Amino acid sequence: MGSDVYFRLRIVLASVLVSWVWLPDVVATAAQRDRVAARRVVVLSDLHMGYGRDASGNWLASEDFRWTDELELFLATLQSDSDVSTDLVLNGDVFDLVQSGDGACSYEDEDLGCSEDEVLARLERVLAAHAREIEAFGIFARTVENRVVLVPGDHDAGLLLTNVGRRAVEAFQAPGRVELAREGFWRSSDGLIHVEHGHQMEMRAEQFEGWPRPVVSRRGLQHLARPWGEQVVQPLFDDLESRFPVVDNLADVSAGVRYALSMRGNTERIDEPQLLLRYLLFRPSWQQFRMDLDRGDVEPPVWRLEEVRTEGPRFLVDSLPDDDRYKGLATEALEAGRLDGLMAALSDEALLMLCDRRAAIRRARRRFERILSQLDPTGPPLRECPRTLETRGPRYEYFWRSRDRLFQQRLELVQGTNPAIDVFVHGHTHLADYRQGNFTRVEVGRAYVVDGFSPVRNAVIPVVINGGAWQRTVTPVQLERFLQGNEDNEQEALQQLQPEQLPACYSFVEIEPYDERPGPPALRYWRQQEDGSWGLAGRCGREVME
Amino acid sequence: MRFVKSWIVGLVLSACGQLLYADDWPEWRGTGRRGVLEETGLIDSFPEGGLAVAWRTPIRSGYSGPAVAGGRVFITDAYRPDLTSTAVTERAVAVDELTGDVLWTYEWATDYAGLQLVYAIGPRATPTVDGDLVYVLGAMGNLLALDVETGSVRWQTDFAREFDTAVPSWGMAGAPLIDGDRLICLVGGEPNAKMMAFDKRNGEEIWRALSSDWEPGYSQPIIIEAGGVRQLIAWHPRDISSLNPETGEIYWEVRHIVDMGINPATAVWSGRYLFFTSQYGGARMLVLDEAEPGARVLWEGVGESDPEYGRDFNTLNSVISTPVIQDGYVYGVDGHGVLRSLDIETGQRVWETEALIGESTNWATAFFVKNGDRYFVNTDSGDLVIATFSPEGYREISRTRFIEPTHPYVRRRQSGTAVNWSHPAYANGHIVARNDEELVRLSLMDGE
Repeated sequence: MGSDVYFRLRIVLASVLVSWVWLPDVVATAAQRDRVAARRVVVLSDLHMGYGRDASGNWLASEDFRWTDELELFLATLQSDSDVSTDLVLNGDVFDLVQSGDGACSYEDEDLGCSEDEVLARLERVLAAHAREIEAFGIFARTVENRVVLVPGDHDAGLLLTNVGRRAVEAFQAPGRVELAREGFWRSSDGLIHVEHGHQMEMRAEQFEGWPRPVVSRRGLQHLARPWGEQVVQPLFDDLESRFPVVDNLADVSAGVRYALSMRGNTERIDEPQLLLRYLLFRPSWQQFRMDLDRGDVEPPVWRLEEVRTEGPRFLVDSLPDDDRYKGLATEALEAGRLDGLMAALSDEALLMLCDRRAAIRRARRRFERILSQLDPTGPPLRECPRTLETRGPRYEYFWRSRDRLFQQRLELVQGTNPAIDVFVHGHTHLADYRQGNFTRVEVGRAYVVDGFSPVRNAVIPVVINGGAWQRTVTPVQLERFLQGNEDNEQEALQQLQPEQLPACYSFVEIEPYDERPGPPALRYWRQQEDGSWGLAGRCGREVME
Repeated sequence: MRFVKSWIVGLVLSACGQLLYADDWPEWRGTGRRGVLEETGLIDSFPEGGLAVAWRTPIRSGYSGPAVAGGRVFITDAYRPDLTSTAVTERAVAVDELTGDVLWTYEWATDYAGLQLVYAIGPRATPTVDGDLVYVLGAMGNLLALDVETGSVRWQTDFAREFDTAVPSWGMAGAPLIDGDRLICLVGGEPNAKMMAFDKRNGEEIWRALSSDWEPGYSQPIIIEAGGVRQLIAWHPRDISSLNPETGEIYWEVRHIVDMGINPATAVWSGRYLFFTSQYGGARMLVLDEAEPGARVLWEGVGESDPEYGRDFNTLNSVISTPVIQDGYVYGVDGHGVLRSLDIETGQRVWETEALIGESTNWATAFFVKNGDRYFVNTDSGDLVIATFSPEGYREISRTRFIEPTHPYVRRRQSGTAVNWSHPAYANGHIVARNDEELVRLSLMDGE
């Protein structure tokens, strides 16, 4: 109770401190106070709370969530407009129950993850290490008519195990106000807003079979399943993070593996380089690309896949741009004959996706387009896959079909009989959508989404938005800039770089209260200002600190 | 022939008004692409009721400016019969300079699929007139050499079909440049055919240069003289390249990356200075080597895509507008509607004002044409302004409304949804301007 009062005092103080940055939103939401039933939706994801500190009080290298003060202040700010009730959706990977570094849950059968008891033990350690954060969420949940929803992600899929989920919900000490999304996603009561972590979308390396029952039974025990991507990458993260503490803070997270491996400089300890290459090629962050270059009149080119196949495994290495940190190691693996089987194993659909991606990177780099991906837009362009002669030219310049297909297939799967989804929020990649603007264009009787994208071409809805991560992340472009300033010893600079030096901003998605249909989701940042104070902002705009 | 016609037109005009010296406007920004109007005897201020209209002639939509030569006005436009389709008919039009009567038209079919359709309203490039031919370029890369008398096709090519050009999102914009017998074009072709020179008489390829691994951009090539040679300055979104206009050989290059490839402004050459500006890539002031072909960066300013942007306005980030250099100072409009003066040596801001554009707005544009010690400036809201610029500030002498902005939809525009982004022609005592509905000729002669 005492801490509750203390925290409420902090809420008041924080509300005063941050009111100047929050003012426009206060004004906006004050006008909506009469709408009692209207609720604000706020989505945070990918906090990755781990085991906290070691016995001597130092952060464990694997701990990504070191931002308790910021979180408390953020929640206080959210609540500063106390009449508005909020659905606070914690959209997956809130708890990191995968990256333990404790050697537990290691089974001969690589498809087996932790048993329920093992997951529960991990959760207890995480809860103990992050008691303040859990308490802050609990207080938030108990305020006005707020609700907190736990959506399971791939790193806390264990929440879907009965006892683990129950324990997690109880930990917030807000009975009836905290719930677990046992279906694997959260849907607003009117069915218009869909929130899921994002790892279950097609081609994802972290996809679980049987979701939301990611369980394998062995010898009478229930185990979590281990997706193939986790099997490939998690041992690398466990190994690398002790030496490169920010290895999994890169957005997209797979980029960190590229950096750390290239720094380490050899493939000796990569047991299956072809699997890692597959992971890197098929874990693209299909984030927000440009929205307004066409309106569905452009078609995708037809790639000559037979010709692509004749290139053999070289095609896979060539699908990495020359400045990709993993390219050197992939080339070594190619020359050692370790990629021979992979090419034959890829389906036509997979090859098409790679060709689309290559063309998209080429186009973006031809025009120095920063918003395509986390890749440096000034880097060398990739060569396209060969096209058919009939699909050369500007009519065939649509390269986002793989991305669209990815989301459309997922939407069709989750749509069910509910009303059409207006807003689809996901996370997982740690890479927030680039904010395009905040309006929708109407032309020739059609409306086009400009803020966020719709995977249903020519449609205003649904808008898909990636909320990024509520932790400190860094894009490869930002990291490159930092390393350029330390070019004499990149390896040492990367080894010494701590999460505290990363840009001090945390992304989230906000959907304001609405009566009939939700407005466009807004990507926002809880950001430290130049003067050290904290406030809300439309962009991160911060760099890695020396 | 061109000279004779121009002389006759000038004679007639001089007889009607007080025009003392008349000239044509045969290409982008006038003869030599300098944005300089040599004519004398033009009005000092605009009449209260606006400029006298010589004629108005209906045309179709487009961004391209008119060219005036030999008693004719040339313009390109486009027509989308079905607005839900990208099929388009582009067209070249020749109009009698004195009467506005349409002399001939020539149409060709194309398709704007792949362009950013908000802005896909027509051709971008101003026609280039040389002797008995006018060279026109469509938004998708159709290049035609047409007979000025009849509009018949002397030769033509299609960049996308012939050179595998990947047309950039805002279309092909580089107006063809005449240099002797060569027609130099921004093609963006493959392989290594970003810039190409054709035989202007028959379209045969003479040379090609620069990789198309990067987009061609939207800037207009110019020819300067420096370091003892003539240099073709091709500014594309990755580099500023200086080429030998006769061979395509690269003299020198300066890296200057422009995000999204958006570099519509033309390079500004003044003595030993060569200036470039873009909204996203920032500005570069180069100093040309006087002894041999070469250049060095004197100063550079951050672009809006640079992380440092927002803390330093000692630069100029124009989005479309081409600035001017005068007496050691740069004057230009940045992408948010601010007219700014910079010290040419340092890039430091001397002053800035919103008085010219009249509002702070995204992607604001104005086109500057020097006339003696003053400037004609047309803003994208449809105003024509007479003004002077000096280190002390901006002095507006006169302003009038001269064209209705009709270019549709510009996002985040505060003052409505239409603009005029076409560079007018100044020729023979008149300004000739276009929007998406008409071509209009207005008198600038004193006493009319």
